[in-house]
Amino acid sequence: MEKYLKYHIEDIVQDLYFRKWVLGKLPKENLNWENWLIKNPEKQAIIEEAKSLVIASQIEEIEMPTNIIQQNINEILNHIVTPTNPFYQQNWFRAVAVVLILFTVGLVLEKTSIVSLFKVEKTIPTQATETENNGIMPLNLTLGDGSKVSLKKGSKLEVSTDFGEQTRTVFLTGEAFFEVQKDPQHPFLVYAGGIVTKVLGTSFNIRAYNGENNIKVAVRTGHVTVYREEKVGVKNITHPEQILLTPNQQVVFEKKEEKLVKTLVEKPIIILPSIEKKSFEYDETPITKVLTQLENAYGVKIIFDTDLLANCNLTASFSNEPLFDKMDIICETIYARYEIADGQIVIYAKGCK
Amino acid sequence: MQESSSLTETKTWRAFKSGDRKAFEILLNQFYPSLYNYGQRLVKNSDFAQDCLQDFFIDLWNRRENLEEPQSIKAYLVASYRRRLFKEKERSFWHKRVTDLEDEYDVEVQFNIESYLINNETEHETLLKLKHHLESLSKRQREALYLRFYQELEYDEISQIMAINHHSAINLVYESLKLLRKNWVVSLLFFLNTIL
Repeated sequence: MEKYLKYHIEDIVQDLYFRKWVLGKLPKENLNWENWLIKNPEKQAIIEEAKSLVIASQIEEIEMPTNIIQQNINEILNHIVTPTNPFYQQNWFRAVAVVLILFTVGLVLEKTSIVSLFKVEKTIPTQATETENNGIMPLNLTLGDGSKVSLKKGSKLEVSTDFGEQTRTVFLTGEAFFEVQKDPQHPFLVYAGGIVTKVLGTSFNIRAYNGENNIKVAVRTGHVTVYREEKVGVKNITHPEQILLTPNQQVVFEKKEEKLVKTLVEKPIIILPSIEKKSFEYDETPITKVLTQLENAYGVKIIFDTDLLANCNLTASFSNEPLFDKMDIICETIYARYEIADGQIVIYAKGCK
Repeated sequence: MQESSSLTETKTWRAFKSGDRKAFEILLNQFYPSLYNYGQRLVKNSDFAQDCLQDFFIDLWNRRENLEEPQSIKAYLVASYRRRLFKEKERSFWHKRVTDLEDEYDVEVQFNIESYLINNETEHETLLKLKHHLESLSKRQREALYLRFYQELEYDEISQIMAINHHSAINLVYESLKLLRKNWVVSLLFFLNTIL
């Protein structure tokens, strides 16, 4: 306690032991500070001010949902792959035991509980049906035409009564991943939060939660067109602006500003199957060649000034880093930067010596 | 940090690096809550921060063999998560013009007093002055105060996390405290002690 005699007010305020006392976290019997004040009455003023600073700078607690936190931790552990051990080591037997227990538990649980806990295949008849996913795990559905929908948590899908007649129409709130069967005679339409996504046969993800500011449509394979839903009663002679999306592109609809903006998905995937496992090795390779190769691999257009980058070379070895990490490294090497505009990557560079 | 606890931490970290799943679980249980709390403050979108945190830990496991042995595991994890959050956030906003980005980034570090004042619509002049001073703290000052007082981190850990030098970290906290002390009135001290 002696050391506190020399402390400035800012040091007292930051001292953990002092803070504990002010915030009432010390045991009641602990009267160290009270006694110290009695011994050093001239310190009363500075202690009073320090006390108030501690209280004033106290940071508000936020919600810490322990169940969600534990869930998230378990999810992480489920996603990691432990190095394989010889069969006689514990994990193998434990894994078998867990599978047996799960199986038994699965039999015992009520049917409705199982639906919300595990992935379940469910066929939706073509009448208007509403399916809501109140569970945490995605709910897999198969529609009457064979199209598959993976409905994420807190989401709802409604299939229209005339599904399959002229069009195949569904209504979505929340998020889902669609794998649509090809049927050019009957366009597949997804209505979500004010926009309509039209496909002939392809796979894509739509995220349209009520509480969020944006709606996102991202394409995995094939292509889709997205346009704003026309308001009821308003007849538009001109068709609403349609945006065409190809793989790795996504459109973001800002609800507030009612703007449709084309961009790229957060993690573009390699679409050229032959390149899947290949690693990208470069040794004094001209940047222009590198960029063209990436363009082909990811199906994403990269715009750059060929003359400006003519002298730029790259020596690097990439494997399966995300595309944008590769772009970060490339741009760092040539002192350039990149932006996403209208679903394309644009490179701003100064050139190399 | 006491000697013994930092020693066990190092042992756990080494075990994790060599592929020990149980050690990784221990690290998760120990550090996940703090990182979760931090992420929720830095980014307004809770799901975004959570998803980023999930990816962060999974990547950490996958890259475990190439990781260094940090002086402070907590500071290392918080700093890495912070970098990742900002990078992913920046990318998720590519559909906006660059100038719009400024509006979306915030550090949600709210002070107890602020919400007390908001909820009670108190007219007391000096309390209003305090609220005003708290509001005028910069994003970085708020973040520094959070790391120092809420996460109870040392200055070399804070400088590692915020990617600033030791001296700047100290300044952020000291300047904030100086700001709060401005126009301090005796009656305010009395008031605060009685209501809290």
